[in-house]
Amino acid sequence: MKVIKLPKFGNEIINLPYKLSENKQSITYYEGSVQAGFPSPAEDFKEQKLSLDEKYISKPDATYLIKVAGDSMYPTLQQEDILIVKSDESLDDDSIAIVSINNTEFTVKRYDKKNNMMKADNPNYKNVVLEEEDTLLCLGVVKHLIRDL
Amino acid sequence: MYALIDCNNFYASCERAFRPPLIGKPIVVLSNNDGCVIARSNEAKAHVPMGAVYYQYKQVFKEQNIHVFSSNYPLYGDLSNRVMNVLSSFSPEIEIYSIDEAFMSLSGFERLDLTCYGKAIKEKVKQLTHIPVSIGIAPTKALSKIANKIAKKYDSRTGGVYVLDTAEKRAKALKWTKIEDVWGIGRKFSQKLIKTGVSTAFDFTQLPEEYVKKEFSVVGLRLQKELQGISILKLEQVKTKKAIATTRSFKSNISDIESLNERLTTFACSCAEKLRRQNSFCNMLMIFIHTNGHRKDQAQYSKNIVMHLPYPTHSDITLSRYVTKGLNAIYKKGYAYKKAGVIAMGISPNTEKQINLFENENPKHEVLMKVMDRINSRLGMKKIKLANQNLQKTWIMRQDSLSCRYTTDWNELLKVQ
Repeated sequence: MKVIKLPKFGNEIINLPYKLSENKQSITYYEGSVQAGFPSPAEDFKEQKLSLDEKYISKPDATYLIKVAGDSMYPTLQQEDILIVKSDESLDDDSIAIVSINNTEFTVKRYDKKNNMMKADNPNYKNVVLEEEDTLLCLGVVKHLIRDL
Repeated sequence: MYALIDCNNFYASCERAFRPPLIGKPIVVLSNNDGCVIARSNEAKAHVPMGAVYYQYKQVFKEQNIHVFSSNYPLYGDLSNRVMNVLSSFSPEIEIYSIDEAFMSLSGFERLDLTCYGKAIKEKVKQLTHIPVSIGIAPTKALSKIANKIAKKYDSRTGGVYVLDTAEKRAKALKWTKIEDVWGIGRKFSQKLIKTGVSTAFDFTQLPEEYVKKEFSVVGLRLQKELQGISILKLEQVKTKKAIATTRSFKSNISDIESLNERLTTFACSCAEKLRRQNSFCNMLMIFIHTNGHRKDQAQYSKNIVMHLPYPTHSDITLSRYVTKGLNAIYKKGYAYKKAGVIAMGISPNTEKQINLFENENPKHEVLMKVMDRINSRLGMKKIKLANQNLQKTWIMRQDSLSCRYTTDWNELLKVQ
């Protein structure tokens, strides 16, 4: 039988307990550590919860999660990255967006306003120059990404 | 003033939202179990009637290059929620009328240019949710329905927004509207009206009030006033649902009590889950079973039973116990059952739960249900079930042409290159 040893936490690491409340995950952040015996002076202060949803998905109705499946935007974006895309943001110069040109499937590209084109960060891919008669459909602008390490 | 906001070909628009190549292409969406056509894009309307049976039209779909989809309610439900939430940012009062329609009160907004306001709503919904809508604005709910039809029908001229604000416009619109197309008129009313020579909504508004009241009751009178521009019907406040039902027609008939019990138990669990999701309890349960009424050659039987529960509950275990009791009471051997259902009634919110002195639910149910919901939602499927439910996939809906659940499932997110 193999015995698995649990790693010991060093002094500089504190295990942060987290709560699951419905769909929202919050991490409870404690200042200082708790001592037994004397009542904690922090008890009177409401604990502060950090919510990733609140910070990154402030407008859920205008937020879409989209997965990267190609390397056209490498190294900025990598395969399997999950993009947090916001449809309430305007398409500004140099922003990365989910777009469809002339009703093709959606792709992820960088917008170059000055040259009026959609660029791929990966030099192996061609840029697309937008012509007058082209229709550009924008699903939203990529604002954040989630990547497993 | 009231606005009626209606999503254009909603299910087809949902399918297009994440797949631009489908824009401008004919699309149909099928009912549960891929039975018949329940939604069509404009391009498909010329080739396929509403309710067309899927297997009879397979050839047509192929010849006309029509894209066929199984209904993807997780996607439609999520996009509908998004649309409704965006709408509620434009007015403090909205009434969600169906999955793709909402009434909005614009009282206090009269000094605005309502056409402009309507266009702003339309643009915002389109930008945030990618769903196109049409908007009709008028002094009453019934007239806003008509204004919406005009906006939709003459989309290129109106830009999808039509305001029915003057007496002339109203008269013209009413003359354009056939009596049978008036909102809430019903088939019996309209047939009776057509017989007396009333063929348009305008004709109906010209009838003497006394006559309408006598022949068509208060309901008819209310509608007449609404069409004349006098607002009677107000927005209905959103309440917790009065009843929650899960009912299904079976792919093939069921005769034995064990299989029926399995189905009804599954329906009960689905009701219980819906109750838990809206934080409420039920204290009455109705179940029904019936044979196929269209098959006159077969023996017919249909029966329902209503049971009062000893305490308000939303536990799978309690509901399924009563389902089994009820089924034993109404089941008759020797019939081929086509349809069955469970309806939870007497619904009260969590806060109003009464404490019963003698009989209460085992408090462990509450905890167990929470754990089950959490695990099932994490796995994205019903992996944990009661033992009297079938664990095999035999009852899975037929959904041969299902699109991705782009917004509700981690494994089915839109992928981009």
